[in-house]
Amino acid sequence: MNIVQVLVNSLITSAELGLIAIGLSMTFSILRFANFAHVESAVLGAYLVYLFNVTLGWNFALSILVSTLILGTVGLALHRFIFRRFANSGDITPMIASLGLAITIRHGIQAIWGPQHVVYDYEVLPGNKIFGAFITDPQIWILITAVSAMVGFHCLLQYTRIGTAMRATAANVDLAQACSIDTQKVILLVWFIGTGFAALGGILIGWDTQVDPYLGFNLVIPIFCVVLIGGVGSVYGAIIGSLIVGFAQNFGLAFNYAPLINLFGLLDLGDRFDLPAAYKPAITYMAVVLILLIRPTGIIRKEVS
Amino acid sequence: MALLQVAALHSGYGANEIIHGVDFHVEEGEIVTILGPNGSGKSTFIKTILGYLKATKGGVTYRGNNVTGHSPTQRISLGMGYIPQLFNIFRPLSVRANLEMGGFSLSKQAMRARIEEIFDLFPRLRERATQNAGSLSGGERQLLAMGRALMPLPRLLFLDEPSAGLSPKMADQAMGHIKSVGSKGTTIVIVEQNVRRALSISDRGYVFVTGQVEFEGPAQAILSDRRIREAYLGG
Amino acid sequence: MERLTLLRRALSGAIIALGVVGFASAAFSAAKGDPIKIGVIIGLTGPNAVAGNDGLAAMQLAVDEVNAAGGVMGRPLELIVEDNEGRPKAGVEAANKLADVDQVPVVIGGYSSAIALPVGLVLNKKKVVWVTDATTNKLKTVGPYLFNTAGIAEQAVALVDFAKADSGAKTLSGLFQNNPIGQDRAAVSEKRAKEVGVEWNHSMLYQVGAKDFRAELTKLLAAKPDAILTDIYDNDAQIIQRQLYEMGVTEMSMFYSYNLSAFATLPPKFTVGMKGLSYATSGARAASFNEKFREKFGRIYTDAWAPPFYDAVWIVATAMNLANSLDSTEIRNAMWPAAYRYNGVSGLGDKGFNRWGMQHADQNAQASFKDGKIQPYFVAGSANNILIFRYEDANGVPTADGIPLAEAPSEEELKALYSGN
Repeated sequence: MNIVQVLVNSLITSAELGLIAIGLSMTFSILRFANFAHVESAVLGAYLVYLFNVTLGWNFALSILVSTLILGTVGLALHRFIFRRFANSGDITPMIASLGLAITIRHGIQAIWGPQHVVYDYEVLPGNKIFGAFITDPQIWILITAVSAMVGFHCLLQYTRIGTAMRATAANVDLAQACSIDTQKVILLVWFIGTGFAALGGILIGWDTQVDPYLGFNLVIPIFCVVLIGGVGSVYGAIIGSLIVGFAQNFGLAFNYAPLINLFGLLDLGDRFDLPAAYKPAITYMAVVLILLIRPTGIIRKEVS
Repeated sequence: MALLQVAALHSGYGANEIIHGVDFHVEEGEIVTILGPNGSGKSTFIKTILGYLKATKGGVTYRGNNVTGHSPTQRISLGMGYIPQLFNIFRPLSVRANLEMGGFSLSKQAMRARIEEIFDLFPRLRERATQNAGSLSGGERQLLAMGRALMPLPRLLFLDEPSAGLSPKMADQAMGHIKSVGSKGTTIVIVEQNVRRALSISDRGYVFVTGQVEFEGPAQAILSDRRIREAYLGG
Repeated sequence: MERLTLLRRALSGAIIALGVVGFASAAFSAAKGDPIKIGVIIGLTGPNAVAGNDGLAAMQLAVDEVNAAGGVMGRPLELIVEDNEGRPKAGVEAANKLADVDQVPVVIGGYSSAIALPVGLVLNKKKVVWVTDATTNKLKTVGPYLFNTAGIAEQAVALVDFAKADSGAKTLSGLFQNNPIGQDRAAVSEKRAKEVGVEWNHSMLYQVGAKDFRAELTKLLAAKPDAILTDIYDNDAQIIQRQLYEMGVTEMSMFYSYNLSAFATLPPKFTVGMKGLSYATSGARAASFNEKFREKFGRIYTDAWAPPFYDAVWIVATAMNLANSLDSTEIRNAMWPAAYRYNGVSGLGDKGFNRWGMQHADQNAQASFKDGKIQPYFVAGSANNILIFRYEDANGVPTADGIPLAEAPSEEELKALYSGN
């Protein structure tokens, strides 16, 4: 088994999941409901890049930038016209609304672009060989983009006043208001960045593979697992969670379990026992179960102020 | 003119009215304590004055302005301050960041200067400046909560049960801090169940019972009124 | 002797079928009156949407022809189409709707075995005839209202022989869908490999519709098999082939596919040298079917399982005419004689059902990709690329699975066949 290849694969998976999960965790930290439409924003962002780059022939980087900003604005509109109305309706009503919205977006996409997948307009080439592992140019860009977005967001949160206000609002909305922080503005900013990050994550997946209307449907469970593992509502937890899921999915299949199981004397499996690939989705759930057993709050405990 | 004038105020949660017509006033420089048994509406009352709950009837006048329809943020910017009973600090933020949030409306320079003043007032906080607020002791948290609320130099500060959860010794210390803040010119309204401690530093007191004012008068008068003590304040 | 009978029957069937069409189109102008409706459950969206849309187009072509030839009992035939979105649950919901609301006697569809099986169970319970194209061996066990117009997994096992003869492989691995047909492929391939003395390395069962297969592919290649057998859906093929290419596999001659048409819409460089089986479309009517399809839709179908869907409509229409009834059980009983007489465009042309309602024989073509197009492929030293499968014993005598029935089995016989259910 080529460990470097597995490592590269893990990092790419983590980068793609991470951006979307950060957005989801962010909106949860302040709005306190599970936004199922979040992953559909990722798909919509990916389709917009297709529209700009392939259909209209724009520059690829510009297409990514514009799509991300548009989706950020869509996030503002979603808050203004839909979710703001549920501010005092508990957490179930907005969650159901988000489910309905997710289905609407998914089928809207299908109505516009059709059920077939689309790919961005660039030539697929064999990857560069680095330490025996293949990594393509787009994948290198994907890692750079994801890491830059995460570092940038970290700096915003830690070193700026508005970032601190975002953390404060997430920790305690009432107290933030008592500090004359305009929490409505903070909430809008959270929607903008959260939805923009989802779009960027979706775009990176589209860049790496392809986009179809069911991308969101396939993403929703892994993304929620990432958020659960990291600690619901924690942005840094989402990053850690995405690394855990990315590595678990790739290393979980690569690993030879025979020595481990034989060591415990449970069974004699011979020299090799690989986890069948059919269990790949289950690896994610196993990680969720194991981590929640050890830490019921997820890796990063969300402090109640 | 009173700093704060409340007339025939009604409010509550949805259809469930808790405050049934309260008249209330605070003069500049006073320390006023609101007393009353659990469920008498004390916290609901100050949440309404601060704008977290909507008044269904009646009005709130602050420094001559009718603020009945104002949002909490607007009232804070007019100089009201509030320290909730629980959840009164940002636990994931550092001590310094907590103070920065308290002074969110200040300019960068004013904020820096003000943080130094708060550190001078509560030197303990300076030692803990970079620590996460969640790692502070109970007493330190109360100091931070107060420092955070004092950042924008409020004219009228509301404290919801400042001695809750503190040891008797720490509660005494907290009251000492409140008194010294009051003596520097900040008007203070305290909601308390711990009667003696709060009244001992107060000028006046209100006794709330089932959402109405049952008694109002100088702090000393309440402390010495046997009837009130026995009926509402548990001896 | 048996062979001769079969050949004679096939020829006479072809003549009859062509004659009926010719006579009908001469005698009637076109079908008139209220349409007779039958259901369709197929994946127009989701993981096998390419195949689903091809299949539906082929069915519509057949419906037009049936109606031009006089329709069903003189009335036009009409399809009520339900999209299963590639999801079993949507398929089952569609089955309930078609059976209970539209009350159709017959439903055609089910490209994916994961959908064809549960839909078959529902429709059998409701005594609605279910004609499918799916290929899992488990279809045989569902019940007497299920018919299959394409070969099932055990009829395509010759891919192992093909890979061995072509590459001299000593070790084989598999990459299949994690669903009933994928599990069948894994089981029959491994069994066959052992029979012919090839080491079976590993069966990699992947999750249909997933977006990243790098972990699976890294592991598949790391085991370094001599050849890899695959069966994957068209939407999954897009990502799998691309990721293989990105991982440096730019020449695919070690891959042998059970379902070569899943790769037909890919960029040519993702299929260089790839080989496999293609569900064969041959016989007298095949060329004309291909031409008519191109004429009507302005394109060539890419999915090899479209022709058996075309055949399904014709067999159903013939059965309804033979039964002269809309009662589903009477139509079911007429399915055997209808298929027995019908000369199809797919497989051997001979679409007769065995007593389980499955194809009694089948035909696959060895093929390979050249410039992104599927071409006939001949193993070195062989002039034949058509693999004919018949169920027969060691002496070449057809077994029960290998005998097409001219008449429906009796109720008692059917009851006995499915008594295990």
